[in-house]
Amino acid sequence: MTVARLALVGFLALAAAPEAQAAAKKASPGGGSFDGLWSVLIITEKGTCDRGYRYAVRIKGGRVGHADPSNSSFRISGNVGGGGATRVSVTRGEQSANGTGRLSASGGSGRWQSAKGECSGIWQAERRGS
Amino acid sequence: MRVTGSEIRFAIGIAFAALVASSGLTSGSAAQPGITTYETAALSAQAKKKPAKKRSKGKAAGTEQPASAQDGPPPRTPFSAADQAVAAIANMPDARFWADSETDYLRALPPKPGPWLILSTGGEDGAFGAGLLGGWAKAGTRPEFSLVTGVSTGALIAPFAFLGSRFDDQLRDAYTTISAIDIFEVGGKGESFLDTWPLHGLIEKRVTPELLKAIAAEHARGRRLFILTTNLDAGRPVVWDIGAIATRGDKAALDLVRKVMIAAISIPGAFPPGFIEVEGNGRKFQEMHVDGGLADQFYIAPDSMLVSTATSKLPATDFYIIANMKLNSDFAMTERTTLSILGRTVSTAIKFVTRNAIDRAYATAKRSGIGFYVAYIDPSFSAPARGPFDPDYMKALYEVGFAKGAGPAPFLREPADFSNQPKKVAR
Repeated sequence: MTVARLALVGFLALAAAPEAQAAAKKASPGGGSFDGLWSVLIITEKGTCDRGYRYAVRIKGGRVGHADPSNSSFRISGNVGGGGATRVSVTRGEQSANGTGRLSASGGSGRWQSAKGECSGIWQAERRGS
Repeated sequence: MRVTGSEIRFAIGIAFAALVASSGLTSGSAAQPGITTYETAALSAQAKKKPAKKRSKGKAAGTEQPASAQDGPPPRTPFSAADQAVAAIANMPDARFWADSETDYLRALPPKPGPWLILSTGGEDGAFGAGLLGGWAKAGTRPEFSLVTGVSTGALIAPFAFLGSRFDDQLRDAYTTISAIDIFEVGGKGESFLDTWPLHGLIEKRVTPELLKAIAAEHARGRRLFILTTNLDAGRPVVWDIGAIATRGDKAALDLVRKVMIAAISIPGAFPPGFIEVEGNGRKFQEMHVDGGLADQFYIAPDSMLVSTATSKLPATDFYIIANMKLNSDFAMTERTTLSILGRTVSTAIKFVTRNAIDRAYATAKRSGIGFYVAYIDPSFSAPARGPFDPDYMKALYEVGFAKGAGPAPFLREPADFSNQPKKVAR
């Protein structure tokens, strides 16, 4: 098992509260007001994954994706609802992580957890550009 | 997990390979974060960590808000070798010189002989040097250096070491409270795998007008502070005379010092290069500068003055060399991945290069009647690291350095024998 890598793979595991997931599901990508370039801090609180990294992420039409579209190293799928409820899954190979949380106009936060539960932690986001 | 050539891992891997290369993190039982597994690392299940700080949205010094990560870097203004040959910083002709130029070097040296502090590369292992300086000051035996030189992480330590022990707390904080999120963001913009906009903010916070004023005051006293970068266009190392720049005392000087410090630790490929505005042949253009460690793991003098055939004597009373790395060969299982092999390769090469450089410094010191002192990370240090710039790892290394500095013999008086051979028998 390569827990360290899982941290990298699961970086956007904006795992979190069920209600946030539900809200995000209901809200079809309506989070256009959150569109833009974001910097997301992924911090490991539990488990032996790497301590933390910062990632560049782009939200477009309420959908979360790579800041660099040519980056196909892992799959990100997720969306931001109109109220900011955020749900994202990240998959790479056989590993995945999930998370939820909430964005505001300029920032956001939530929790993430690896699919197998080896690691979990928090994420924080800040808007970096349009 | 199989390596599939993912860019995300490649980005971290390259960065880490470079960091490892300069830090020696792969040695001993320290894990290779981001590259290898952690099964062997003795880590607590619950990470102790500080809450992530709220980050400013504002522009950091010398950075631009990314319009889009899809945008590649803009094209460069072309210039020729002839332009480069006469290029200079506007209104600061004495800001820098080629590190291989004896004439310029001799002109920039302190007017009087004194002890020199020479700080090496090492990435996060700069915590060792920071700790050693702190402990050394506590012991009350740390001299005032007439010259301080810094390469890569040594360049970040150098200004604080230059200013003396009253800046030791800042130095300690710089190496024990930061983490990877304060330094880089995964996702470059076409010229590196990582973006260092967080580092720009960090440098802006640490390199203040007050710091520059203090450096200028010491420069006026005849002391000198040199930081190395590599001019990638010219393929030559450059020495930045930080005191001379600071003496100018304006915003242009502050901006330049910040840019130089960022360029000085910009590991090419992993971090974006630094661009320095210059003028030459009536034209303005930008030079591309990267980590000075490309040329030298630490800087004492132009190579021509250090080679065995050199006859010149350097105006120093003592060389104090702090190598922010382990120098011994250590076993570490290397994964069958490109990055793991590359990282291990580079870190091994750097150890050997540094050992040889230390040996050459020793020979130079003996030839010139200069006292020789060298310190490096003890082979027994084996704190685990959870990724690059793990604060817990850096704190542990700082403490080790501090204890060494405060101890009775922080330095060796001659290069160590790493040959792993039976002791030589006196003939």
